[in-house]
Amino acid sequence: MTEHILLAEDNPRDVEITLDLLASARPGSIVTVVHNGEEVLDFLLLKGDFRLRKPGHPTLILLDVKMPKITGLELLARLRSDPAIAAIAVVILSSSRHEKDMLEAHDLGADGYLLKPVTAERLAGAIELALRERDGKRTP
Amino acid sequence: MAMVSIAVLGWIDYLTGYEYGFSLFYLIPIVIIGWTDGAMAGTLTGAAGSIAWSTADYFLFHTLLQVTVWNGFTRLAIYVAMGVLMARLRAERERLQNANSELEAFSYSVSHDLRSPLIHINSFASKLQKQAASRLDEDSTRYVGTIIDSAATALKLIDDLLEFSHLGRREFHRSDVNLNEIVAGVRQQLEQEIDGRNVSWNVHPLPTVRGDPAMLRIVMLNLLANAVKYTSREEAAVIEIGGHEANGNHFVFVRDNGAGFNPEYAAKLFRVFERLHDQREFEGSGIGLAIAHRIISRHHGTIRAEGQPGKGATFHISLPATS
Repeated sequence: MTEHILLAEDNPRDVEITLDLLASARPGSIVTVVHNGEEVLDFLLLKGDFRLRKPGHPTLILLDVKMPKITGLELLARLRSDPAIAAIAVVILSSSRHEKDMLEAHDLGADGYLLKPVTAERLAGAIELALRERDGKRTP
Repeated sequence: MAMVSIAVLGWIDYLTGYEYGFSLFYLIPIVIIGWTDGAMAGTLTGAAGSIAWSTADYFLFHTLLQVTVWNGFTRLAIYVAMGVLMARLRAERERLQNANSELEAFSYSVSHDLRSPLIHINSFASKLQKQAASRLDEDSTRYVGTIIDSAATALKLIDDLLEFSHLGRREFHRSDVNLNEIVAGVRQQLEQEIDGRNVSWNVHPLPTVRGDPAMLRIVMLNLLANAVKYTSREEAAVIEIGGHEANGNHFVFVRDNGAGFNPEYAAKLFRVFERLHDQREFEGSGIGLAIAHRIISRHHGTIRAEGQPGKGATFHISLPATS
């Protein structure tokens, strides 16, 4: 089954850098780009611009922290509190090395926290680990 | 009389814009102790406000005053003086808390907003270097390389500064710290950097100290990483680590046979961004030792260095055994 990654990132330069990295880290995966937490929710819950998209959840969400409207951490809190979408793997990919963000991401249930700049190898490793851990949580 | 006191103090409270911290808490002491002392004691409690003046402190103070100062007017004067002092302490504490909040917000902004553009410069310059390699002449290739290196240096500087600034505000988690384990972990982390080099480690048994494990790990990492760096030009690098306990203190040293330094400038070693070696000789931001110094200070310990140019350096740490 083709892997589907939802990338939530508001800065177009970071989008370009991350798409390049993903092409090396997870070749063959389909990547959808959204620009803030609100669009992530619209995508997942088939609302707004995404109401007519084909149903189905992404394999993993790559999430920036600082975004307009709904931030990455606010979105993560909402994700984990909604049973319909709580089980999706989430890896934070952020420029913020503030300890507060890292701790909060961990407490809110992020499956990984990567600090930019990141190599394709590290990104691949973090995604692999996140998916394995989520699979482990799903299968008793 | 108690009600009159309450009314008068309440008006003073209102008229001074609550500056002197009079509060309704004086009702309780008035009832328990009696109207004059009670009113003043209540004022003192109110002025103490958010300062750590516990109920036990307050009753101890009042009891001591009752026992040692028999003159009512003198007691009144002491209460008023203490009340004013407490109010000023509270105001100063609020000012410092506001300054700290602003610093936290600034640090957060730097942590993300200043790092982002540097990451972009580094990433796109690297892409340019790869994609245009065959089309760039020697000078242009060097220019692009300089852009990449400078962006990486700036990013490291920001990260080091953030680390340094955060140290003072980070919560201190005290526990027994086995320095032997810390050193073993740090050595493993540094293995990649000494790959292919002839480095001898001479590690003696180290004491278990009281402190913050994460912070002490940073100290050992900075000292050992420095030893590895400044011995990089030696054919056979020797790094010795040891420690002992004496006179209620734990002593630890890290010694190397590397580049050393001029002892005339020893005082500069632990200052932020001060370096005693050219970037062309040895890379570095000049903040590692400042970070180590700050951490050891938080442990109420000391750190000092000895050295001679070309004859290595020794860093001595002392930590109180019962910190």
